[in-house]
Amino acid sequence: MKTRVLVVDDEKDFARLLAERLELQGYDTDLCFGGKAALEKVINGDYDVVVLDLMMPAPDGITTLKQIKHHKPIVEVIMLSGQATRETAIEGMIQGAFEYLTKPCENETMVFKINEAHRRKREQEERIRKALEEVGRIKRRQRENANGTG
Amino acid sequence: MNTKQSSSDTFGLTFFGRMVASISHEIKNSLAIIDGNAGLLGDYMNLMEKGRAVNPDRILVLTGKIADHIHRADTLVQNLNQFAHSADLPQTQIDLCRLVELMKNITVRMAASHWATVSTRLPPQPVAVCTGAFLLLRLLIHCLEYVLQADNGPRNIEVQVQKKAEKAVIELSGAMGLTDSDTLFSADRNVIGMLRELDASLLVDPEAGTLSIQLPDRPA
Repeated sequence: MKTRVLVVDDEKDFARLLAERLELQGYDTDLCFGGKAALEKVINGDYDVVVLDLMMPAPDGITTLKQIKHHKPIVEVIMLSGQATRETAIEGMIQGAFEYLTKPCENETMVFKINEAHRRKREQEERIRKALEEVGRIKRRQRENANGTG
Repeated sequence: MNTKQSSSDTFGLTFFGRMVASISHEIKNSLAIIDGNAGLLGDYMNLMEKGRAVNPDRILVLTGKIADHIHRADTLVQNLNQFAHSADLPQTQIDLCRLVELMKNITVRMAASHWATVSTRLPPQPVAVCTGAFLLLRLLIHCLEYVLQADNGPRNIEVQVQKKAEKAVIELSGAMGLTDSDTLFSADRNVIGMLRELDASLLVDPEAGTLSIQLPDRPA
């Protein structure tokens, strides 16, 4: 199954070309140009990785990241910015970003990080699936014990 | 050392640094787009080498985008250069219309971050004044920031230059969300300092949604 990537950047030319490059490399891509639209897409859609520009009109990148992590904590977010300030990078990581990259970013680096982010999401989903299975097994045993059939 | 001079120099450096950071951020964005489009052209070349058909119109669009953003980056560098040179002399004869155009050009991103745009309304003839270009830019952008922060809805701030009697007037209009208490803005210490150095006056009209700066029309 293709990795589903959402590209978010208020610089429309950049968002379009990044989405196109990723599409050519086999990713299932979508794009939008602001934090509000990004949040709506993430809540209603099924994305694996979001590539999110930091410097956008309100809501800015950090605010959008917080909201994405609040609604869909399992979706991985890669922060992207032309300004490599250490403070914003740290803030992004504290808020749960998978990685922080600066523009212009080598395409190979972007692809590598997207693949790594998706792998972490899959591992997390697998852990959750196993935990839910275990919970299901425990509940079944409890019911059987309660019915005297265990 | 003159305390007033050192405190205003400090403020000027912070402002200068902020504006340079903002303009350089935009230059970086353009470079990222140029780099990305060049990479995309390479991706399409690789596909063609593998025998896949590529629409030549797409190639033309991409080369056009590269040219557009090279032009954009060049314009941004010109703006940065003009901004830097505004600090060359503490006082010199300038064309207010060109200064206001520069102010509009270097505050595009600032305005966009507040969902606003800035436009200019300029007379057909230059409006010459003898003043401190850098200091006046600082004051204008300080006023613009104030107006942008007063309200966050989509709007356009128009900056008009006029000659009125012996004074040159720069008026910012379209300022929504100003309240009566905002006339206190003119009592802000930084604003007062800049106005004093420029020998200028500031009028805030919350009802009309305008901020006006009046400059004396000194001979050079």
